[in-house]
Amino acid sequence: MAAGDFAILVGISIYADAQYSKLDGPPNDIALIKQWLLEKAGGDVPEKNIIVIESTNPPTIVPPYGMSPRKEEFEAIFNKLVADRMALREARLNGRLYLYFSGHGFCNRDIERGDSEAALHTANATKYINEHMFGTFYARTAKGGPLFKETVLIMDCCRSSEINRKLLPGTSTVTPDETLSAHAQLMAIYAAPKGGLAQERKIKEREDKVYGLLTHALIKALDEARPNGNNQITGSALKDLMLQSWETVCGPDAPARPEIFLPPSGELLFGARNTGTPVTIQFNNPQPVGAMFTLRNSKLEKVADLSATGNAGDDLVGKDGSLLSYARQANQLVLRLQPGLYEYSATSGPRGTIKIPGEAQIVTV
Amino acid sequence: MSQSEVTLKLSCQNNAAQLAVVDGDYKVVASGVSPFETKLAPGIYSLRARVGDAIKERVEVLRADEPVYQFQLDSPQFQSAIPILGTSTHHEYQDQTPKQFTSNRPQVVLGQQSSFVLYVRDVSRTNFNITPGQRSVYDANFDGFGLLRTDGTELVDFDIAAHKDVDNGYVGAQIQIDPGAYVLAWRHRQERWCMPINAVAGFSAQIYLRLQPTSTDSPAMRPDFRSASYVFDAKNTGFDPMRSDLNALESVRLAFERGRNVVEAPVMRQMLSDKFDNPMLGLYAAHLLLADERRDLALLEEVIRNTAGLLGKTFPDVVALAWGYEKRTQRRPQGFDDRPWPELLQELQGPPLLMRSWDLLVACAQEVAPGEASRLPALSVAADLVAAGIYLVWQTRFPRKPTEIAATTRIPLPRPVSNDLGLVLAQTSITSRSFDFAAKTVDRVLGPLGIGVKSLKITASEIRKTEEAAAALQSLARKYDWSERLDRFIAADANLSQFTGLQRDLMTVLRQASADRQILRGLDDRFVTALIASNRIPIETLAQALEGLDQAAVAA
Repeated sequence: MAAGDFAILVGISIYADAQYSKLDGPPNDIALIKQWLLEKAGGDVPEKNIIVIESTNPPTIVPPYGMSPRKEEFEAIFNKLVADRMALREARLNGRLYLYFSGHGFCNRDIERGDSEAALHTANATKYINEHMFGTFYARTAKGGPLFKETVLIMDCCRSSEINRKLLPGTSTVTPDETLSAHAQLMAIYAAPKGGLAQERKIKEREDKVYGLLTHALIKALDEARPNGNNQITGSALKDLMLQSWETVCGPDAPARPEIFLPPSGELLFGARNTGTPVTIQFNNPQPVGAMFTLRNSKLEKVADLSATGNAGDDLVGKDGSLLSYARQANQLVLRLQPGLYEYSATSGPRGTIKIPGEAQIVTV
Repeated sequence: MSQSEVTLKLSCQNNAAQLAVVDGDYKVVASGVSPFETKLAPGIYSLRARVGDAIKERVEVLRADEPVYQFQLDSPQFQSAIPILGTSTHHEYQDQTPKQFTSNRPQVVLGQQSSFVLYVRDVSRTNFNITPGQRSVYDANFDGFGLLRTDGTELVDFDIAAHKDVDNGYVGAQIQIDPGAYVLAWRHRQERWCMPINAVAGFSAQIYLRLQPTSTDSPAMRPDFRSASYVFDAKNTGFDPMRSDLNALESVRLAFERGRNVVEAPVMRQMLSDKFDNPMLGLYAAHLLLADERRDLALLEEVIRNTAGLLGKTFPDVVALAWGYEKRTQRRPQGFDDRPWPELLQELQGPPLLMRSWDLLVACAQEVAPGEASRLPALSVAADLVAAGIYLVWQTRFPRKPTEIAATTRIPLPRPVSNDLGLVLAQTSITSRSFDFAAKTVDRVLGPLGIGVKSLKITASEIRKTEEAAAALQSLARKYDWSERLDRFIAADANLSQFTGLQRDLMTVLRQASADRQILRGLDDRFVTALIASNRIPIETLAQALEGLDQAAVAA
């Protein structure tokens, strides 16, 4: 267990000012992220180290400016964490901090630094009072301190269509230790800095509940990504998979791709579930005796030769591990494949390519 | 070339598209601008062209038995406020409509030599789906635009002057004006969102805006300034949805949003040098070249020179680029004005169009005219900037009461709390409940030095350094109970009209700091440095905001 890891999860779905529409995604996002954090093959974070700050539903009746969650509530927790970690002196260069934000928010991009910054509107934000949590600031503070060896910032909060004021730094104080900080790493994942309300939607494979697209795609990638030899997912593999499969995972009218910033050196590692993605191969016509379905990986190496007529004795599965499992149904092969590009061919049919994960994973032969 | 490698020649119909080759592990193994050639191991690859957020992709198998593969990718259908062909937001029913605003018959004549065109449209086709009950809400989406002088005086109310065709989802107008600085404003309730217009002789400055839904269950929309399209056309150049230069301009704008240098592609280079006639393309390209570490300085200089040739050497964005060029090369672009920078800055009549130009002008002012930044017309909107992508946009409430600058006794500011005296201040600091007691304590501690927080006045001209601003901020936090002050301000005027955006932001921090000692201590020079950086303002703007808050708090 990652006993030294810590997580602060913030989800804001109800706002005092009617200009911020009620969101359905944040409570589900928080539950999904928390579930992944708790899982042994996920974050493996002790439950006592996961702090959740979220809207109460129905909201507590208070003056608008008093509505929770507010910035000071987050800062009280963050500042206590700062004090606790700094007291550890050099030993604080250990473990991982997850900072997760879901709700209405806004992002800025700096083209020269090639960097992004994002903030989450707090529940007491109004048209005139720009109350927000500047998530990037806290992540940078955690890295600069450093408070932990690794910091992972996830901001699924670019759902506001309004133009926003500039970001206001937080007031958390850490005197950075540059020597220690040089050994600390920060990975930041942002929903795209675009307006519009399409950043959360019903997700069919998650019982049609509403989720932020970034959160859904992140957990899906963590579940399905191809692990390395140590059964872990590297930060860069996670980034590649999320970006390159974004449009297919999000479906029609996919919003802009998220922005993912990796540490300049070294890799952050994540637990791998290696569930792969299901693909159904549908044979439209009866296959001749001895017909085979052949699958090759992106290097054109054979992944499997599977009998198209159901003769299991003819099946041959390669050792590259791309094919996680397969089963036969009437006129169908149901495969579970690791993400990637594949070529298929059948004895009696044309060749074709498959991209995993793809939009509709039914391939007709 | 290894025997096992194959050659891939990749191009795209759109010359400003970014191309990428992605392997089966989803790693980008090659990338560039069109046309593009690379050598790869045989295998399966995803070939991608990207313009903005739009992507065209095809998966191809490259086999060892074929040495060369050649593919041309279709142009990705990106979004644009301009109804040009080949974009995902093109609609036939709208694509001829801007012509009526780009002919030689302006809707309003206020001057000569130049013109301004506003064209706003709904690309969502909501106009075909509204119910009678939603009609008035939908109609109002096209209202609220005005052309202003830089002092805020309204010259044109587009609700009256513009041609509004709600059935086809657009509104527009051409205003003939004299060259100079103006403002496009969109008012909504008590607020105005503003964009600069710098009219140039012989050119038509055109702003195209898209409307963006505010929720899924309402026909109410807002103009999306972030995705605005800004065009400078030679005056009376008619609009044509098939114009390839507009397609190229929009593609480069989208690359600029992402900081991707696509302007070194052969066709683009030609557009920027021999065939240069598009000043807005010049501005985007120059910023992209300036930001690129591997920048082609000769091309950059040529683009700045060409753009200055069309827009003039006193165009704010051109001046900003010339400054940026000089900082990189220690010399000005060939043929550029050689007068001192403070003089050139003073001459600018209004702010630049692009945020990157703004950053350069702020840096220039801080370096060559310290203390003067907030007095420069080009930087006068610093306290009200909003985040709107590549464009400079500011937001004000109206009518804003001018802040009276009272004569103040200049009292030296205390040093920030990081020193010993400051530590005493921090430790004897206040909570909202014990404000008076704490303030007296602070006053007593500081008494022998003749400095009392309560009697301290914040004087903008005293603040030149971040630590001075931090000291002023801490003093303000101690001097008043900002939770209570904020309530008073809101009670007096729910819109907080008298305050700039920066002041309203500062009040949220002061409210926290006046109730929490730890937060108060966090208002140090590092906080101020981060505040200035994230707000992209000169320190003088922050100093003025603090002085104004002090005066407002006293008056309340």
